[in-house]
Amino acid sequence: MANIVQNKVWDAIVVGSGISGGWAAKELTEKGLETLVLEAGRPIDPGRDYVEHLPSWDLPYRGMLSPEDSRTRHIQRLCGACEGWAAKFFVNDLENPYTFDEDEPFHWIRGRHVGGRSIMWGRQSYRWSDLDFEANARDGHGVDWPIRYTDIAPWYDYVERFAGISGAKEGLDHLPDGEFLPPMDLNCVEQHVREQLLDKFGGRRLLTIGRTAILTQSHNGRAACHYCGPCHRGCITGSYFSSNSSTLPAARATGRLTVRPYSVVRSLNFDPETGKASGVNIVDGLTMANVEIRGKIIFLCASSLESTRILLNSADRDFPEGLANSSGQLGRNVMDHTMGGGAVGTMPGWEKQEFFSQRPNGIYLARFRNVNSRHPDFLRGYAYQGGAFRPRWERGVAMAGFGADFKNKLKEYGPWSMRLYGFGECLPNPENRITIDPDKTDRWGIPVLKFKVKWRENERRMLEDMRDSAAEMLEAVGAKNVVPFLENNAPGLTIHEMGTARMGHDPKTSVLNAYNQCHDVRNVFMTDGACMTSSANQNPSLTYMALTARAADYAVKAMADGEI
Amino acid sequence: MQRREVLKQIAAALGIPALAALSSQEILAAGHALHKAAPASAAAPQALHIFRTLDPHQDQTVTRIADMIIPETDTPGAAEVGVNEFIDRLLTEWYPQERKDFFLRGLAGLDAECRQRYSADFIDCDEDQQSDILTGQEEEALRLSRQAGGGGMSWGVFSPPVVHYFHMLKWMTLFGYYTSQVGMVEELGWRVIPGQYIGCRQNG
Repeated sequence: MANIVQNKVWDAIVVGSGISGGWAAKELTEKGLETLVLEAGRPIDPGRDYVEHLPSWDLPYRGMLSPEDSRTRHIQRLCGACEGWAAKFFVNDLENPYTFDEDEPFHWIRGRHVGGRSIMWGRQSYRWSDLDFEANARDGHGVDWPIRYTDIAPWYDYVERFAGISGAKEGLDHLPDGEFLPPMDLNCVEQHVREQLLDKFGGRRLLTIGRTAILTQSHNGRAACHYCGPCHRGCITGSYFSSNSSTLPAARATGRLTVRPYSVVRSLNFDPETGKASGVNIVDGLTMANVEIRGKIIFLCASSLESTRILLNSADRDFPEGLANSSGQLGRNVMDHTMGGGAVGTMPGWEKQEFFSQRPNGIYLARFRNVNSRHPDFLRGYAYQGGAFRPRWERGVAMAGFGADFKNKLKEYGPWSMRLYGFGECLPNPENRITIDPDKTDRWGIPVLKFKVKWRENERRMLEDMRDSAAEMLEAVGAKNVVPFLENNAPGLTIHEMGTARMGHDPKTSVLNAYNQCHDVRNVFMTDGACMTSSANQNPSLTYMALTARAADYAVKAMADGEI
Repeated sequence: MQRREVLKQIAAALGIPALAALSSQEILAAGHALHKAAPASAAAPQALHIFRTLDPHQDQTVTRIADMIIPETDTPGAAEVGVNEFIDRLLTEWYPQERKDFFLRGLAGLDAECRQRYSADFIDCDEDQQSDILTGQEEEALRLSRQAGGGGMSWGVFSPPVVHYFHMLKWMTLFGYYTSQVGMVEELGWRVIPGQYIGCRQNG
């Protein structure tokens, strides 16, 4: 297939430069490997590309999505961060198609540029616990995780110390504390709700400040947050963790990093004589040439579903169902968190209190279902994010009036509202699946994914409980005008897509072993969300970071021992 | 110490000595300077606006209503910051054709009502008449919006209401004003680089 073959054999090839790829690049180069990072999209220059301080009046639609961006990003725009400033960090849907049945949509939100979604990510960073790693073994859905909390805990320590996670220690067994920088403040109403909840629910409902990869003090040469607010537009002071601010500069400092942008990986080549992958085939995004690049080990960090797409597109004589897929599990068990069960209510009595400036973080109300007792309606659990805020001029349309008094009123802050917005665990199900669509290719001629994914009974019941419990808690803490809600979000839109190449003990039922190494192809590792055996309910990126660092450590030792 | 440290670091990044001593306008300029390499958008607003949807009569009507909603106080009003030009831009480029037509039909209906009640177009009515008419328009818009259950605010972001042209106009006016430099900086006191977050303090 290749019409250009590069002779150099890299020590390591990393596919993707987002959160997982950045960590792989840092760890592998720091351990002495000449590493090539292949990024499908364009390079990023913070001085040119970041726009977090550009005021609204410099944009033609004052920050609303332009008609042209709406047309080319008809799926991406379903994500709120795809707005007038930041639309350029989201893929062009017309160039990056995929297929699904009309009544079962999957909303796949992606970024193709150096840094990937680490530029626009939500930054919420939570550890998993054995409540999560033992979940499959306990209730029989999916296969057992081949690791436990003790295996990953030192790697959480390690990545947190480098990335910088601000948060408060709370001593919860099922939401372990980390190596935190000082927490951001709760605002007046959130603090009140925290105290009321502890009081009214006997200490079992804990609201804490979000644990976030944003610096509350200078850290590893990066400046503390200055609270301008819109992190997803980039951060020129590098105050939140992204590949661009953190891992890639560290990798570059070793002198062993090469980043090749505009490199769209199509497939891997399998060498039956060695039983290993010899390298990757890319389409050069600028010249459209096919190029073959060789490496001793390959880290797939292209994002959960893109990494699996590459392996499915690598089917050959030895692996007719996709490379490293002797188990038949590749592409199965697609997961995402459910979201959007919750409630909002006003909080009277706090009119004389206010907060100052834009905190790019909210509250976290830790999981309380199926922790110590068994809920009759559903398995696993959920947590809430959200917070308390006061609208200003935004309430003006619904508020009758005009003139000087009206204008002066809009200058003041309106009533406090408190909102709880749930994120729930999704069960692994082999019928939630991606395959290659034989009839469609993308802008680079690469066959695209076909989705067959839907929420099922357990997810739906949990969403209803999210709504009801949120309303119950708001009533309990003194909220008025409580409005419960249940959004109908398609899978994918939470942008926590996971699974499709699960880790497991048994090569017959899983794709990866306990070190994210393909059971079938020993020099290929997958350390993005594809590896996840279950989904827990915590935001997953911190776990990808820890698993990536752990896998890189293992891979380098295995190379030195001659095992790879 | 925390705040001073933060400001010092940003100031160092900007290449200026003391951010804390700067006015919000100067900090704004500094924030701008950080992104000076960002290429100007081809569609960026231009100094001279050429109207493409609103004719002179419609423009006068829209300008007058916008300025009645947000008049000059100790800060400029909607007309002075050119909200009418922004509205013309949204109608021409941003709204789908059917919403634009819906809006223009609403404006025509306003004049029709004024002629029936006061034998003059809206723009030629006196101030009391204009105020009465506008109050009536808003009552009707709120009533229809309640019936339809349409429009609303979620997490500080307003979804433009769609059931009455007056709500389109009010939303475009408020959005256009409070996202302008005058609205954000002079009226609301927005600071692009606050330097710190305070969770809880007494008002004012």
